[in-house]
Amino acid sequence: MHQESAAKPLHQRLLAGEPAAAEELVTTEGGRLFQASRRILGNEEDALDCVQEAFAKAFQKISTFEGRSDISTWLYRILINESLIRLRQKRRSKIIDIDSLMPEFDIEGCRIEPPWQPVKDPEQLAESGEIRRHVRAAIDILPEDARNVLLLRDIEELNTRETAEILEISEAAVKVRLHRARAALKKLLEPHFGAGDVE
Amino acid sequence: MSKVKVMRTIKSAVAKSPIGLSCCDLEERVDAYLENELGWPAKMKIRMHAAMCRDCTSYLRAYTATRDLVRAAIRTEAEGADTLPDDIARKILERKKSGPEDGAA
Repeated sequence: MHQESAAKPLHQRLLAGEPAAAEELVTTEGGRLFQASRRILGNEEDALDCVQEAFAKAFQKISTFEGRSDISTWLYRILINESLIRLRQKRRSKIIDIDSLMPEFDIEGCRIEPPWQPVKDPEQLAESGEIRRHVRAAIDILPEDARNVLLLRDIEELNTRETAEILEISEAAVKVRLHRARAALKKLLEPHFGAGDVE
Repeated sequence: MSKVKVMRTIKSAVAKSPIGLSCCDLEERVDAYLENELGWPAKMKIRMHAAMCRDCTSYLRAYTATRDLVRAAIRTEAEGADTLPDDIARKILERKKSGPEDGAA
């Protein structure tokens, strides 16, 4: 009987109300979800709250899971939505005017760009706690639409289609917002590479 | 005419040719280029443009480095948060027992 039960897909065992199935889901997916939420939110406390909310919603809505994707993908999407909602609720002191951070061109359409002369590579820079705080602060001041796309595409490494589905926007909108977010972060963060001030 | 102005005049002329690309055209294609979504001819146009445009070369390098920094910084920041604490796991399961379940048959 136990073997028969274990052979059933996890979502069916959850639907049948098997306590062991819930425990299995929390054990196998909890860490991964915690890490994803931590990446999006930037702090553990909020991430742990979101993980709990995501599991609560998943258990409540398990009957709506149609089995088209893996249950871990379904759960991950619930978690991402919870994390983005939490991120929206967090009060932000300042949101940058993203247009002011876009690349510059002269009247002939030629780019105006300072020479790129970095003193460290990205991996080396990321070892510094101060730099990591600058990166998080730069993400935090992006407008919500650009920030969410950046978090899903560049941090969670979802593809354009997955990002569009989660955010319920078109793939073209994902591409535009991602580019604006990346261009803005470049402008905000490039001084930390030691570039931009030497001709 | 300064060297920079001469280079810009040449760039503008090449950009208007059938094989050319302007800095603005490159800007529109930069993500597709970096994510390898472009076909060979479009890729070549970008490489040709970058080869004679110091500003776009600098831009592409800075853009890529910043994207990589953001990824590396957030990944490093979240290191260690890879196991759900036991008390949280317990809370999740206790909440399931006491809460509404539309899934329970």
